[in-house]
Amino acid sequence: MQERKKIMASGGSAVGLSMLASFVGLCCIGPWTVALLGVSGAVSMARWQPFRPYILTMAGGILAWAFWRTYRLRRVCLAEGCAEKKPGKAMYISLWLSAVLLVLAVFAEQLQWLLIDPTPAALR
Amino acid sequence: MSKSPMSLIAAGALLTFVPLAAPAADAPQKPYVVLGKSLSQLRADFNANVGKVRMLYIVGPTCGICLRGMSDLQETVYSKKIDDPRMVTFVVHVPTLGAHEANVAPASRLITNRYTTHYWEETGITGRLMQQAMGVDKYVWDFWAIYAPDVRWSDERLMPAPSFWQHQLGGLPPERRLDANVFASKVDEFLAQVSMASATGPAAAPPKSQ
Repeated sequence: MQERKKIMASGGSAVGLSMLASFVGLCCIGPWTVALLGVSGAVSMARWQPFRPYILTMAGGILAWAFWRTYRLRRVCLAEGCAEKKPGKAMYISLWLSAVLLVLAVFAEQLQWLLIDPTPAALR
Repeated sequence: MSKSPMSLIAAGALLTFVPLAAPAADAPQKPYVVLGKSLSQLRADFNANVGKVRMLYIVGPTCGICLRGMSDLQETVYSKKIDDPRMVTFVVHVPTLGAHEANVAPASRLITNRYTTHYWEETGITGRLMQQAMGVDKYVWDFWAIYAPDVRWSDERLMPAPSFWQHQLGGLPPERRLDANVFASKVDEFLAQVSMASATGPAAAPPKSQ
């Protein structure tokens, strides 16, 4: 059970970090940052931009660790029978969702320009 | 001498309606100038300050990265030279990323000094003119330019090419990304061309609508 908790914690951390990185990367989509956080909040958020690669690397590392633990646990359970409860379907799903979120976070900046055309409406 | 009833009525009407027609003296003034599509006010302000170092920034007032750029320049350039009459700054806010005029006032507080004017330009044509001046294939904004003292904006349909520029856009040279320290040192280089004594005369226009 302890192992499951560790895996869940690392998966959760990876999701959190991916979301933070996405949030930082998507700071320029629409006027929502200024509307939600105000001008100084938007400036503070934009100041996180240089740290995005580090946040993403950390999230990737944690997620890789969570994957390794989960699949190792599965292998151990298959080979030796399991003292601990086998990782459930939900855990695999949440891990893979985290991975998808992380990939989206990596490409957040490129994706935002696919979704949003910054050219003023009158000039499009 | 007695006055006719008609003249009394006319005087009464005048006293009633004149205050409504006149601009209220205590109405809060906008901290920015509203530009028309011709940009004539910006051009006039630019040319009125020939002989000084002029900075022109094209920003989106809801773009976090642009706001960070303004904040960085306030720290590295303006907080140190707050009353230097040799440099004049024009900050043009354009409607990128869904920005509206209401977003300009809060954003304009990031760079404040007596030689800086903020403008709201509703169509975004400023970025298009700069795009033509730069000869690039994408709309230009989040763009930070310095003009040497001798540059004049002669053709109303063509903005002069900047003497130095930086940006925070994808697709433009990465070595030109805004670095407030590099920008500040470039400002100093241009300022060295202007003596304090020669830098008298018009600064930026007081906020008013075009």
